[in-house]
Amino acid sequence: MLKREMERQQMANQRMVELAMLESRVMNNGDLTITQVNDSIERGGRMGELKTEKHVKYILSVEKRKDDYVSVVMEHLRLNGAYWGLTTLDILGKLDAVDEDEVVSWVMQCQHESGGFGGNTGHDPHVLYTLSAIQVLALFDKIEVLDIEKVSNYIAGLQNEDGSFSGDMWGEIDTRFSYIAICSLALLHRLDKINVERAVKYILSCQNLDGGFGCTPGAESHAGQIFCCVGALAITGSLHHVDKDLLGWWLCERQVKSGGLNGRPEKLPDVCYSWWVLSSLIMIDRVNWIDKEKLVKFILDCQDKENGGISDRPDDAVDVFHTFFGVAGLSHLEYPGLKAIDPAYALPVDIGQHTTPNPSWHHFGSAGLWPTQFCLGRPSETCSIFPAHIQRYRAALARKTKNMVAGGLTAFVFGLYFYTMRSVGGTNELQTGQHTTPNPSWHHFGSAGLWPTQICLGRPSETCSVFPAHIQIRTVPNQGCRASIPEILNPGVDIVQFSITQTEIFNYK
Amino acid sequence: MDYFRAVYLADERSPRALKLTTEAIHLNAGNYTVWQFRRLILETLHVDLHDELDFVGELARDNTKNYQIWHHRRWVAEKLGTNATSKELEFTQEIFSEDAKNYHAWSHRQWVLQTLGGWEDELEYCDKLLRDDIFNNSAWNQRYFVVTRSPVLGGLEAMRDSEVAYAIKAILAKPENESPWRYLRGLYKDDMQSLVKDPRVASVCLDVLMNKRDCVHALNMVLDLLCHGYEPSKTLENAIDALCLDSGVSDSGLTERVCSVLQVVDRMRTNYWKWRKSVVPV
Repeated sequence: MLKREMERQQMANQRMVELAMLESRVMNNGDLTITQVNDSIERGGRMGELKTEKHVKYILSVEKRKDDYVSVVMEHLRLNGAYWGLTTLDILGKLDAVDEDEVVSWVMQCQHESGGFGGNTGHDPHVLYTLSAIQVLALFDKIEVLDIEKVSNYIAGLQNEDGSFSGDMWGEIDTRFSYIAICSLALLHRLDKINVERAVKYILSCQNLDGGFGCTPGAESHAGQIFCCVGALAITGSLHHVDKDLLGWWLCERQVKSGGLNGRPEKLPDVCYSWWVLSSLIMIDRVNWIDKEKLVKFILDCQDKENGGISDRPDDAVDVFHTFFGVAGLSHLEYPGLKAIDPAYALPVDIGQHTTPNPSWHHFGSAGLWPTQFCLGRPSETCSIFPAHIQRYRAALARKTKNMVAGGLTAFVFGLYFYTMRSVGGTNELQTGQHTTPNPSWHHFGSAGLWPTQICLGRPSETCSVFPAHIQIRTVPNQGCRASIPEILNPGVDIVQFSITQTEIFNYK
Repeated sequence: MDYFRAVYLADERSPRALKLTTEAIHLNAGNYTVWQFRRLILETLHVDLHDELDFVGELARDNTKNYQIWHHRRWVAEKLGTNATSKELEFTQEIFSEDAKNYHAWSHRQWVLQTLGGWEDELEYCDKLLRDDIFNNSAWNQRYFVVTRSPVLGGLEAMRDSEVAYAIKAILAKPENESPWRYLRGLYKDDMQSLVKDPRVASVCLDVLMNKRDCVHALNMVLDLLCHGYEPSKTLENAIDALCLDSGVSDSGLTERVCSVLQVVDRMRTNYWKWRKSVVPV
């Protein structure tokens, strides 16, 4: 840690010297061009970049370590560690660096005869590790190796009379376990095994006067618990019970001066809250209420740029837990080059099928997976599974799987056209694809035809859950395909690469 | 650990097995499988659980954020029943003297109160903690917990008046403190009209703004009041206008002006204040 401190200091000093020299040259000679000054500033800015290769190396090294102190102390939760490490690798596009068969085989060895999973081989079962097992298998698309009946019975058996969930046979109750049970069973398509209504009722009994949630009724609102409760409510289609404005405000107040997020009032910021808070905000469609750029900078400052890994706050020791949440947070913040991650399931969005029994949610067609059809949700309740930038990402994936006609604007237009066409099942009428809202100040799809007649512009302060600000294109209504696309939008480039911020190019009127 | 594994697989519930779990726990207090086996042994051997409380207490002091330790403590306390009440309250107090916001300890304490009792001095204890650190959000949460759930107090209705006074006193002491502002709102939850009508609320906003013109919490409360029909005094309007002058704000309505000012003084949350402006009732 001291070494990092010294290195940082050295770099900072070097920077100061550079800037001082630049300044004196400008002052004395005026012989610097704007380009040179800008280059220097940019170099400084580039110090804040995600060291992907280093993080991959770090994670792989942790995976290999089995005998050092840290590994021994963490031995009982290795399955959690596997989930954190592997999901990070997947987000970074490097999941193929591990031996899939070896991992899957080891995961299955952690299963107990009760159907639940322990944290490592030979450990007692607990829902904490059961969820991680399911998630790891989902990463490799290997859920089918499970005896799904057995696992889901184990989980369902832990629901109590009042709707709460115990972590295991020893009876500890916590809303974390409600989330775990619901997330697990949803991934296994077995939500019908529990009493969802009572589960929701219990979660709501943990809602506090500040709009947040605690571990049990009356417990203090805490960002981690909030993530669990909001995630569970999202998956069960019960987000309408949440006071999103009140909670959104509480969540955005977690951002402190440094740009980082804390978990409760007057506590220190911690990178892991980049996940808990951010995911919650995305699920309730209020993520624009924080300063995203400052948060990106905070997370990047928490990297160990030499050895890889991310720590809870700048200059502390790194660990896999914070590495995952830091990278996942950056994914939510649309940092370029990262796979999009689902805020409710905490898995990359290109994982398997997403179904839900709740009829008010759009759901995957039973025939196949993405890109057959995907969930648009109701605009006033952002589909927790596919918020704005994830939908863009999925649109990009969809375009890749179809053979698009080459060519700039055409490709983009067609892409968007097919995207919307597919979402309405290929008809000219807007049915499931229609984005309507009772609020008349929202623009909405015209009922006569699709793009390019008119598309939803939404209000910039509330990201339209279907077409967020930076892919919205102004059209001249009813005059067909006339679009003005700002130069910065490069047609043909994957939408996922865009990183235009909310500071708008268009004027919405 | 190999020895532990051996007795665990053999399901040996003997004193030596108990000792082994002690060793294993000292090696890694997070190993939940060891804790679970220990519980099985304790049950079988009918060990005096008061000793167990001491054992867990010692461990907890060094590992205050370990889930397994707290869960084990709760299991033991539940077995001991009301014999453990004062000990548990004392124990959590001890933890709070080092870390007054420890989430596990607060969860445990709330469980103790609800399961075993001991409410009598709880409000007083909250007050003590807040006198130590008025920014302690956990203590504010506990205060609400006590006010609403304690069987020895009158409930929220009866206590609201005095609690409002308490919150206001805290606000005046440290206006930048998030917690009492939220607490105040919470006291009037689902009854915003009463919040608007309570002259103390508007008054504290004005008092704070007179001393600290750009206090975000005060401005936010003023905004809430205005949105719910509060008629501002001339003094308040003047205070806002002075702020507007400084911030270069010039919207037409007072409520909109407050939002614009907030966009400037709380720049990090500018999108939130922008949204507040967009939903100002006409």
